[in-house]
Amino acid sequence: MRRNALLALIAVGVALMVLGGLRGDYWTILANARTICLSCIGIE
Amino acid sequence: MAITRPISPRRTVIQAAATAFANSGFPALKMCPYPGLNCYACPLASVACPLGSLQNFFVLRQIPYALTGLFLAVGAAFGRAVCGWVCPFGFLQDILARIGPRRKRLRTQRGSWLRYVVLVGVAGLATYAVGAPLFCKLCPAGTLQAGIPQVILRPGLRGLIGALYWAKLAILAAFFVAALLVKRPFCRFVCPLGAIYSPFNRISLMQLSVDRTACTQCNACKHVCPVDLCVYQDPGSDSCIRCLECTRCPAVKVSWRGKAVSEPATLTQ
Amino acid sequence: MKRLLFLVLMLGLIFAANADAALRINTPEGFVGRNSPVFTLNTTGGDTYGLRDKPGYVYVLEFWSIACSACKIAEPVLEAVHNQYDSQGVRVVGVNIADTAAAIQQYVSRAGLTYAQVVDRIGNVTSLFKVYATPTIVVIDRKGIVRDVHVGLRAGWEQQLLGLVSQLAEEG
Repeated sequence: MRRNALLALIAVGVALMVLGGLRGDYWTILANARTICLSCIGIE
Repeated sequence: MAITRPISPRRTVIQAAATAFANSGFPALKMCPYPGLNCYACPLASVACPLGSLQNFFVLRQIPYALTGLFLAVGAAFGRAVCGWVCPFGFLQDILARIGPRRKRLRTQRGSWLRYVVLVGVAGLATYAVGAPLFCKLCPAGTLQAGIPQVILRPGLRGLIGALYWAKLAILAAFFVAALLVKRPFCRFVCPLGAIYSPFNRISLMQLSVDRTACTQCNACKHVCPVDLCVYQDPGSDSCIRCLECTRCPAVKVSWRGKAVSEPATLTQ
Repeated sequence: MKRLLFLVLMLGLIFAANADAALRINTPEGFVGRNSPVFTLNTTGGDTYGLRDKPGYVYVLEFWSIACSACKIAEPVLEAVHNQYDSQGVRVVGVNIADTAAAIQQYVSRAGLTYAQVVDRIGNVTSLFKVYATPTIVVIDRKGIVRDVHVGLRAGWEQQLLGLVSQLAEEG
């Protein structure tokens, strides 16, 4: 794959990371990671 | 050209530092998904597991923009290098491989397609259908980092342990033993996160190139490779974890697409 | 003499530090028998909902999230408690710790749950109660004292909860 196409792909990735931030993705990640979901990790 | 030292100390130090960072006990960073596999429920976890977070998004029926962006950016740049340098569970398997017998089993890449089945089937479709993060329930990295320590630290949880917990322990034990006898069994056959990064190997900016005139096919590269890859046969393989152990042979080099090939690593034996 | 004093001082400091650590509550179970922390949160509809809104009520709090499948097991039981004891001054409230108000409302209406739901996405009340896992159920009596805490749902939890709620509902 050509170098510029790859750089564009990386740029898209970074853009998605920013877009996700604007849509509250990191909040969702944090809110779910702050406490343990007992059934999720197989203890319950 | 032979490589005499089995592993490069620099990579070991970086792997250890990455493991320590991901488990440094400062939960403020938990909004950041880590690129490697590190359970969010580890008592010391300071980052979120990207695969656990991805499954959560499927369960919540939300589009994982940020996580997709992370995988895209990291994969397109480095391919599967995360596995070789910053994944704590990969680090553990590398250590076990050194402890175990020298002669390993399962020395071809046959069957490594299984991890795609785990990704799409378990962490993907089944998780979406059932509405619970199914891979997390079985993940041996999670058992080691969270399942066991939490039960030790919190006596109140011990009454909850059931059949699933014992099954998880058995799975972890099986991978422990397997990693002594087989190189990186989890990474090669099971890890869904590795399966996400793997296809990027073929197209990534970072590549391995083999100088066919210098290569004597002595298999030293395969010998030092943490995933038993015969590098000169398929340097762009999706099994490669880009650890660069093989670049200690002058016939194998890291190259970056569009740039001139970098100078070969000097033999530091 | 000086050395002895120094030794006593060091031992005293160590004891004080240990006592301090021991007295700190770092799990929700540590609240049992003590006054409940006072909190105020917003419901999914935007109204405020506080522990002191209705003094003299029994409170059953469940810390949950949509992605937590064990919490789903607790839902019908809590709904039953709400239906049976609401008229006797028992308030059942779901404290969602991870999701947005809109997502909670959608989930709750689809699941047919009628008890109050409050949003704690920021996590203040969660850390106030030292909640570290979901599901966690906290039962507070009419005097504001925490009487029971369930972390996870172990065998027999339903009977334990129903028994306690019926007992507390009859008190005062």
